[in-house]
Amino acid sequence: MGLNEKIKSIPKDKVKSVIGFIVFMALILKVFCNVTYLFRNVTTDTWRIAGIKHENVDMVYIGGSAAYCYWEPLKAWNDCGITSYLYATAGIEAEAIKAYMKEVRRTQEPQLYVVDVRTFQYYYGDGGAEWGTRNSTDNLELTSSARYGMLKEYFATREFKEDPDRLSYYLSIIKYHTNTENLHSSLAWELMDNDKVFPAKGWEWREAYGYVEEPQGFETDIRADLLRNGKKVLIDLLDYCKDKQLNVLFVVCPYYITEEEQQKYNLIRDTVKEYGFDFLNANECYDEIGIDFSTDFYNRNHVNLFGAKKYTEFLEKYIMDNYDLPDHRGDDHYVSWDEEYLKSLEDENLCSETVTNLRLDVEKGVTMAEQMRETQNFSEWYTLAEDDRYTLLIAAGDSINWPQNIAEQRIMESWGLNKESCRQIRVVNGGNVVHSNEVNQDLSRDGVIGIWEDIPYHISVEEGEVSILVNEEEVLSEQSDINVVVFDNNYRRVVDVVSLGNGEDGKICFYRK
Amino acid sequence: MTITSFSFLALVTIGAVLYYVLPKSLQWIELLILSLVFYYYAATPYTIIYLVASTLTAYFSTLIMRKARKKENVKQAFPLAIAIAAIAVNVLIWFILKGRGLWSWAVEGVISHACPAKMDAFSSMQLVAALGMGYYTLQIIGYVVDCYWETIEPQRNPLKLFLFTAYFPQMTTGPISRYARLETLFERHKFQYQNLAFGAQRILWGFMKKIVLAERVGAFVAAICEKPDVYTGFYSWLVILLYPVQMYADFSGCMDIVLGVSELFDIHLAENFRNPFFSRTSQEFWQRWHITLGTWAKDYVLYPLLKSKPMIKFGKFSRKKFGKKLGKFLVNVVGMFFLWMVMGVWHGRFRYIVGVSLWYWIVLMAGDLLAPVFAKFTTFFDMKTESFGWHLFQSARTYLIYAIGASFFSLGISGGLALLQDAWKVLTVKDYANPWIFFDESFLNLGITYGDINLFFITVLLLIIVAVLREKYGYARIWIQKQSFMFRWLIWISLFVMVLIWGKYGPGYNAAEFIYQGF
Repeated sequence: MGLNEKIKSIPKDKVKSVIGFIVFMALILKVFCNVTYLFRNVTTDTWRIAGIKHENVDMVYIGGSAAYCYWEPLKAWNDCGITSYLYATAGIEAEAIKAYMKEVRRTQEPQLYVVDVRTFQYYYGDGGAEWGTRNSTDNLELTSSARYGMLKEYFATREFKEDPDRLSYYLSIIKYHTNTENLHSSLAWELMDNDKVFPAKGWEWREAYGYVEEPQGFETDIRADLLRNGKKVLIDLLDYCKDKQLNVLFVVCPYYITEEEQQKYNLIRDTVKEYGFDFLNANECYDEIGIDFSTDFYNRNHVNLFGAKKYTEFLEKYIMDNYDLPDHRGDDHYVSWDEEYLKSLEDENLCSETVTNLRLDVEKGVTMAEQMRETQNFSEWYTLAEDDRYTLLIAAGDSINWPQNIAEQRIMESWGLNKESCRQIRVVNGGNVVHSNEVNQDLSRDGVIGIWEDIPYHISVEEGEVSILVNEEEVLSEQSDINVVVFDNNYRRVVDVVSLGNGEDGKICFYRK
Repeated sequence: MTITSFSFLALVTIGAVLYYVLPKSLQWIELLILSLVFYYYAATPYTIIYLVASTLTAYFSTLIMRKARKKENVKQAFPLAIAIAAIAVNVLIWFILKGRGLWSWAVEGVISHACPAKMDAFSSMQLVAALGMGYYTLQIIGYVVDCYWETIEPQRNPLKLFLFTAYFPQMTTGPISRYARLETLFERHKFQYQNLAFGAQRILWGFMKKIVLAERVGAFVAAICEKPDVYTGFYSWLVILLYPVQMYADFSGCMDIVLGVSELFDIHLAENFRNPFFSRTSQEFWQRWHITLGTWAKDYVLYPLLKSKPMIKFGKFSRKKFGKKLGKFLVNVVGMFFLWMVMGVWHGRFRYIVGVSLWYWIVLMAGDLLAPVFAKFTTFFDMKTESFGWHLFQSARTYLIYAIGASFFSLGISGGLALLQDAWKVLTVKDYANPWIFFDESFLNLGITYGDINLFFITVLLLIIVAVLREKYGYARIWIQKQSFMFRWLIWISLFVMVLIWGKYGPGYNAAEFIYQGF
């Protein structure tokens, strides 16, 4: 019997059943994927990753927030005609870089990859990377082999103290199916197909500002080793790049770097260069970039739009000098880039205004602190000090005199103090008591303050002596009365130290030493 | 590995593909291997020795009986003695390991008096029973008895007999299969698309019942039972009325998964449920609830007992002494007492003897005794006994009777009594009722949301629709199969999405335990 006869001899019902089964299973698979996409942890990262399908770019910038906060693709387009896309997700894990490269290669053929290596700095090799790992993989297509490859590598190289529930990483619906809040999210519905154009090529404007000091003394020639598996992940990445003959520039963007971190970057630089790839640590080029930490950041690890603008100009110059990326400006195929750039200028103006106002607001704290120090009026001082720019560290000694003035009593009460107050500790921020001890209980307190929550403080009311230390320096040592240290959260420094006693007229006697 | 786990589904999928790819002569061996793999991951592996022991006693005893019958000089009582010995061994293993709740209190009493120092050692003594011990022990006993009665031929291949004992889908919660029905395990099976479709559909429906409904209701009921002093009044009524729903969704959901999995391998296991809450009497209820246990107890306990010489004598005596009607009733009382006792004892704890045996024995016997009174009552009031309303009333009454027994079943004797007392107070004590809990969002303190409440009503409605279709068409899926493909697919895809989204699984949930897994 020939093939044709054999095919003809198959009963039609069977053929229908087989076709029906295949179509039905395909439908089930499709529904499964859509439901998973709908219920996953949907953020702008999800959108950014999904959006690359619609692009055709010469450069892809891969990394975490240190990528999408720093590089402005549309600015680079306007300045040099580079077409680029930010393929980045918050908290990206080291293992995800290779996976992201693989994923990019499914839809793009970029001439240059820029990889931010900050994630290798944070590789601790334990299972505490769940958030970053899920964030890195949940955004990828369920049909992406890179996704499963990354997870396999993650579980093979990390040490877990508890069962990490591996299956819920591979089939993320297991984790997220209770996430019914997503049903209220228009973005979640729009990304149900994991397919939506991201405006501004992955860039988003962040309306935030934070005062940061310029890091000092981090420069070093010492090489600190990475954790064994962290190095392995880096080597795997470099092997992959070499094997696929990819053009990759590894970068570290400017941030509040420490010497220990610089030591690790030195080692990463050596390793990268051994493989013949280029490495650029922008922390060694602050003057060249023209970065001003006091105005260009929104926290210690991320620049604001002003910093991003400077960094983009710096990096695009480096790329133009060292790589041969085509200038597409004037090309009819890229008209949409011009339109998007013009649109981004409007957004930039709005964001710029907001960030400038935020900066001015922070700077106002300096003027207020001056007024605070100058005033001799307690009520006036209190009005300034209760602002949320400041944290008040309050310590009451063995003997205090309760004010007779009702208005002043109310101020004391707002700090949780009362007539019997002695040996009391309070931490107040913006008028809210964030810590208080019981009378004669917990006679010392340690904590951290400041917008980065990195300045340690110690308050003690033990043995009849009041002592307040900020950043390990004693700022107050008293025996009686209510003592207050005013700390500026933004500039992270003590701006006033006062003691509150009882005056002759029954009002608070307000003095500084 | 549990039957709601991903690893189980993966095992079944791989197993089913291999089953139809491998030579048909190897199919039963593959099932045996799958059963061993499942047992290794689902149970304490060494406890398989108990299954082996049960299988071997059944294997050798039945072959010895067969051989003895062929010899002319062997006494008639010999096969009976062998059968009794085999049954006794199996019952003893079960009693020591699984029935610890029935004897440990007595032993503890003796030890505490005679040798208090050894009390701790006894209390900490670990006796791990085999998975599904209650189920396979009854299967093995049934097999031995069937061989003794010569209704089946003894299996000559010990591995095949072991497969009958350890067939993996039914290891968790049964059903209690008869050997004659499971002989199909050793036959050759051809791939049939319908088995695949029906099996998968049934598994999906089982998942819906178990992880969407039973787990949700279970969490709610558990939250109330955790604080019986706080949640009183109508909360007690909620527990009483919801526990049967949880129990049914849990047990029958598990059975759907089990039967569906088995169907994938073209092995059609016996049904354990047939719309029990449609029953109009408690007697009918037990013909529809845990059917394989009920029929097993009837076939291997009640009927042999009624046919036994002492019972025949007792029947004659009582009919002579008390008249035909009452005499027959008394025989029934004794027979049913043994039947219900066996069913209660099988569950392995006193609470089950009270919740299952005594309660139903009393209800059924009282029902029998008062049947003429009820008949007069309905005639006198001209009740329309064939009307929907009357049927609904009867079903509700049957449900309530079951719910009362289930209170003991779930909370133990004292807990069940306390719950029922509290519920009774709602009806009898003034100002004790707290109906506002249905309106003031008090439920939301019990870890449930409005979404859960809506889902409860939706799934219960689905359960009722499926039950009605089953009454009418045999199986709901038969009716669905007759629909256009678009409607069919819509149903199954919707069900799939429901389970996927609203199923209680994944981190933070443990749907691993089934209520009937403990037996």
